[in-house]
Amino acid sequence: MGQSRLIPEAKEETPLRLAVEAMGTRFELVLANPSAKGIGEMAIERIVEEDARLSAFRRDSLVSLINRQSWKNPVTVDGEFMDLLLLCEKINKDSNGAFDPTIGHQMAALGFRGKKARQKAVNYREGIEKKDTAVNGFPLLHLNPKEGTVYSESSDLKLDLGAVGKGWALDMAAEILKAEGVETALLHGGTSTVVALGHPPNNPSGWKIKTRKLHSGSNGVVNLRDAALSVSACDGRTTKYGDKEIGHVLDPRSGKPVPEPRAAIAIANSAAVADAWSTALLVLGEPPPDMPLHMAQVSSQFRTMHKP
Amino acid sequence: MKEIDRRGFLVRTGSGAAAFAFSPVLKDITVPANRAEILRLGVAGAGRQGRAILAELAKLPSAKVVAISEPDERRMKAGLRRAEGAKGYVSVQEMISGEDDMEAVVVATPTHLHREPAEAALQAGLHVYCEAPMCSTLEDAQALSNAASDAKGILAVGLQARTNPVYNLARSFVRAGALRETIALRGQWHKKTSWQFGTSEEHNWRLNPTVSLGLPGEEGSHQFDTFSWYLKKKPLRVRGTGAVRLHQDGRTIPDTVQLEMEYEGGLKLLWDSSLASSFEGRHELFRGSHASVKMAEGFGWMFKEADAPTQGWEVYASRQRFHNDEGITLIADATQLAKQGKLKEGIGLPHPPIYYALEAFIDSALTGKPAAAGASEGVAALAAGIAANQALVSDGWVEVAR
Repeated sequence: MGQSRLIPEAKEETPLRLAVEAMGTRFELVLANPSAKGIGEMAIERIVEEDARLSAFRRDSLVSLINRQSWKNPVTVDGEFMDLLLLCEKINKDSNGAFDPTIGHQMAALGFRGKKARQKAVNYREGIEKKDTAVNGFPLLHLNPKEGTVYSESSDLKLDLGAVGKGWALDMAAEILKAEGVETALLHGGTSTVVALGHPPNNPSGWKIKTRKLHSGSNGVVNLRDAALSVSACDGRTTKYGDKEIGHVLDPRSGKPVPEPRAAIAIANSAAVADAWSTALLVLGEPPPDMPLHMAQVSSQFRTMHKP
Repeated sequence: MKEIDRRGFLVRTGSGAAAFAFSPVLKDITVPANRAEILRLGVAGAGRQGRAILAELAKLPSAKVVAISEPDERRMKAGLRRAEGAKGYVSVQEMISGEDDMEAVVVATPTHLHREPAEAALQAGLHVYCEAPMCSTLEDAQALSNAASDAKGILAVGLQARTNPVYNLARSFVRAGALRETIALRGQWHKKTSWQFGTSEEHNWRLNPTVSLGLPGEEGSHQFDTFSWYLKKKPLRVRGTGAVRLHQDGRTIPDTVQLEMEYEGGLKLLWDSSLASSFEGRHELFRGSHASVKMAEGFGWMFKEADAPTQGWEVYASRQRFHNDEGITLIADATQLAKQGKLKEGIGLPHPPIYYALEAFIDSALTGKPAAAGASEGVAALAAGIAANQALVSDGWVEVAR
C-alpha cells in the first residue's frame, strides 16, 4: 500500500484518539465517545495481536512459519488465519492474479525487505530485465480448510500479507467495537486504509475522508459510513531501478513493478477486501466488470513517481 | 484445491521427529516416541490469552482442541473461529461432563478464576495447564496443589521461561558460571496500556483490588520465578512503592511500581513496572563480574567484560550493539545454524514462548514426563507476587511466604 493520505476531518467535539505502531506503520482509532476507552484499547490490542501473527518480519509469526516450513510439510493454522488465506485465494482468483500475496521473495529482491535483500536486488533486476519472470504464486499454495493446513509447492514462495494485513487487522478491531456497542468510530492503518463506523454527529452522510482526486470532477472528499476505504499508490515507498525510481507495487503476473504511475481507491464492507482490491486495481489499471465493491477507481494522472 | 493432511504427511514421511528437525530450537524438548498420538484438549477462557493459546495449539500436530468454555458470547465466537470443529460451552463443568474423550484442559480464565476449572478438571482425571499466576490467593493455590497431588493427570503451571529455549540456553551459561560473581539483578515489565479491556467489571478484573494481584503479581511473578530458577535461590523479602502516575480514572491499583526484592544469599533484584510507558518493554538482567545476561522473551544477549576469559563459542556468535555495549546474541542451536551459514536467521524464537510451554505440557501429558513448572513452582512464584503486591501498601519489608 502506498502512503496516500486519508485524513479524518476535524469534528466539533474532541474525540478520543488511541494509536499504536504495528505492521510498520501507525494505526489510529478515533472514538466519538471518549468513555469507550476500554473498548478502544481492546481494539488496539487486537491490531497488535494481528501484527504478531501476520508480520513477515517477525520470526515467530504465522506467516514466517508458513514461509519456513510449508514447502517441507503442511503447516497447521487456526481457523481464523485460514479464513484470511481463503479470502486472499478468492481475491487472487477474482483479480486474475493481480492480487497475489505470495510475492515476498520478489519484493525482497526488489529491495523492499531490508539491507541484505537490497544487495541481492541488483542480480534480480538484471534477471527481470532479460526475461519474463511471470509468477502467479498463489495457486501453488494449497489450502485445506478441513484439516486447517497450508502446503506450498515451492520453497521460493514467500507469503507477504502487506497488501491485505492492515485491512484484516482493522476488520478484527472494528468487529470488537461493533460487538461492544460502539456505533461511531474511525480507524485507519497508515492513513491508507480506513474503516468508518456510523457517522460523526455533524455529518449524517458519514466520516469525511480526504483523499486523492482521481478524476477532474472529484473534490477529493469521500463520505464514508459503515464501510471501509483503501487507497493504494505506486509512489509510497520507492527503490532505485536502474536510473529510475520505482514504486513498491509489483505486478505478480509479470514479476515486474507496475509500469506506470497510478493510484487506486476501493470501498467495500470489509477493510481487508478494500485493502487487497486497491492493490489489485493498481496492477490491473481498471476495475474488472464484476468487482464486488461499492466503488472502485483507478487513475494514472499522478506523475510523481518517475523522477526525471 | 489439493487436500493434504499434515498428520498423514508426517506418517508418510516416516516420523514426527523428522518434521521437528526443521525447528532449530527444540533440542531440549523430548519428542514423544509416537508423534501420531494426539492430546484432545479443552480450553477454559477465550479472552486475549485464550485466543493466543488456541492459535498456538492449532500449530501443534499433537494437539486437538475439542471444546472451549467461555461465558461471554463474543469471546466464545472469537475463540471458536480459531479452533475448527471445537464445541462451545458456557462453563467448565459443562465442558467436562459434555466431552467424554477430552484428556486435558488449558485454563486461561482470569487469575482469580483459575482454581475452580483447574480443580474440576484434575478431579475429573484430566491433565491441566494453568496459566500463571496460578491463583490469586495462596489458599487457592495450596488447594489446587493438593488436588494435583491426588490427581491422575498432571498439573503444569504457565511459567513460560522454564520452557523457553533461549531462556534455557542462557540459564545453562549462568549455571556454568559464565557471570562469575552474580552481583545484581534487574527486571522490568513496561507496556503502554490502561489495563482496561471493555466496559464490564468481569473483563476489567485487573483493576479490581479485591481480586487483582496488580503489576507485581500479574506480571512480576513470572519474572521473579525466572530469577529463582536461574539462581536456584528463593526470594526472601520485598519492599517497594507504587502510584497511579498516568491513568487517573479513579483506579487504586498502581500503574507504576518500583520494587526491591532480596533473594537467598543477599542478592537484590530491582524491578520496575509501568502501564504508562512502553520503553524497553519486558526483560530480565543478570549482572555479573565477568558478564551480564539480558533476557527479553524470545531474545537473549550476553555482555562480556573485557577481562572475562574467552569460551570459544562466542567467536562465531552474532552480535548486536546497544549504545556503548555489544551483546552476543544467544541463539538456541547456534552451532548447527553456524554450520549452515544461517546464524543470523536464528535470532529470536521461531514461535512465541507460549508455544513451547504448551508443547512441553502436551509432551508431559502424553509421556508422563514431569511438568517443567508444576504446583510447587507455581505456589512459590505466586507467594513472591503476593508479597510484592503487599509491599506497595506496607511500610518496610514484607516477607515472602514459604
